[in-house]
Amino acid sequence: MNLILDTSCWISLFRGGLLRKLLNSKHKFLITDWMAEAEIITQGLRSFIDLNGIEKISTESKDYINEVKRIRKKTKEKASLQDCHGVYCAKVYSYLLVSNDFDILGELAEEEGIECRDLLWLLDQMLDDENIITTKEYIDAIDNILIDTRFGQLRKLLIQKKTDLGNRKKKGD
Amino acid sequence: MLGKKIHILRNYRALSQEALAEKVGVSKMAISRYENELDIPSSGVLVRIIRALETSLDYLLSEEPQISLEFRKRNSCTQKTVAHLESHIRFEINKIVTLRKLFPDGRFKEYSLKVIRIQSLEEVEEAANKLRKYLGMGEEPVSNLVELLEDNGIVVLFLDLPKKCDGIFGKADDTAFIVISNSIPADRQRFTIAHELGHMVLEIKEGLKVEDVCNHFAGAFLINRDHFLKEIGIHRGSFSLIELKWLKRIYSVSMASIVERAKNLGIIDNTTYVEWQKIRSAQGWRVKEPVELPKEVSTILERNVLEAFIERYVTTSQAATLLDISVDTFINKYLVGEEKVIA
Repeated sequence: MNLILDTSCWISLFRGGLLRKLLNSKHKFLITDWMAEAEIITQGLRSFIDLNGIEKISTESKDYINEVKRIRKKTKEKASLQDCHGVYCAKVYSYLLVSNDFDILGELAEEEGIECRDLLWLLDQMLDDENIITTKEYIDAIDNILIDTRFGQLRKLLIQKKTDLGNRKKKGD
Repeated sequence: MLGKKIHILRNYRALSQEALAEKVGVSKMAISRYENELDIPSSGVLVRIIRALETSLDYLLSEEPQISLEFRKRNSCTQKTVAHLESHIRFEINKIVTLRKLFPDGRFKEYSLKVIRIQSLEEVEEAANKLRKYLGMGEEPVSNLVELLEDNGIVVLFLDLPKKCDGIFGKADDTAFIVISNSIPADRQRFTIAHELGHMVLEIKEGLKVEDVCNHFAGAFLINRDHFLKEIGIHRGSFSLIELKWLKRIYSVSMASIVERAKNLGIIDNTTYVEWQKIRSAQGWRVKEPVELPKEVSTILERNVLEAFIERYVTTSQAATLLDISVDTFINKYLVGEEKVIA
């Protein structure tokens, strides 16, 4: 499956130390050139993207800027232009959008008819379906990801997930 | 809009179309077509344009608010400098105006200062007192002028302005703002802020020298007459340097402003004033005065961005963009470090 991740998702995976594991995934990960080149992403993440050939996608259509602006307007300017460009690309190329700001971009994706999942879905895939991360790595990643996750649904879900994984580990699953 | 902004920024960076084309890796014709809105760059080319022009995606693609600017510029300020300056100010003001639109209505106090008519220079004193009263101030010196104005709906920005320009005031949509040069000393910054405030609130009768009136107003606003008279007395023959340094610290204005105010209030006569000017020149105090005051800072953008972030009006990357820092820096500063905003 072709997955396009929002900026925050890329940063969470970077902070969670799980970027290298992505390379073992069956999924193909894409990043828009706006996200990849923008000043807002971290130097370490940018190096990883460049070194490991994460595919960058570009847009050339005549109306892409207006479309990105239209999408952003629908978020009441709450989402960055980079993320809205990601939504636009997901729509145009029929990619699956993975978002960390699910309550902003998730709702928007639904309106735009784009399939969208949150970060936990991706981490679950990596643990259960693909076995490319261990339960301990998952828990450690959550600890690091929680540092930059504000109050809200995702924070609650991450904490709950960490508890579930802890219990699962105790049972020796 | 995108083409116009590329054109303005290219001029701002003093690049020819050819030079920009070379940096971006496209033809000169392509740049011309982008600027004239005949074509739009692909997302990849746009990224390279942003890098070449040292700007941001948000600036290039944002809708600009209606901004009216009033410059306190010197005659030697060229049209090109003015155009560059305008573009820079619009960029910074745009950030705050756009950000504030994300908040619920009524969150920020709107600018509501009433216009005060000035028929003669003598009325300036009363106008300053009237404004002080309206702002709920007594006779005391203004401890933090930036905070006082920001609490009353005026955004104060400190930017790298050209040497020929100390201050600017204007309005962007419903937001009133004053822009002050980063490079001038703290006492001059405060005086300039008060001067620009004068431009904002005073309606000056035709024939009066506007800049003189605003200077007079700045002195009267920063140094309340009654407070000043209690501090130094009604008549003085001279001042010691120690006293001037002390007064400078009390009112957070330059020694020159203090002596000027004393002259305007008739506390010293013209002979004393002229003598002071000679000493001022001889000691090199026109260039740099003794006692360096701490500069006031504006934290409004940072505070607004963090509030928007905590309230989930903006995403992490959006907050970082608004503060012109990387997400990494944002996380390390506000989410991990000592200044962390989440408990």
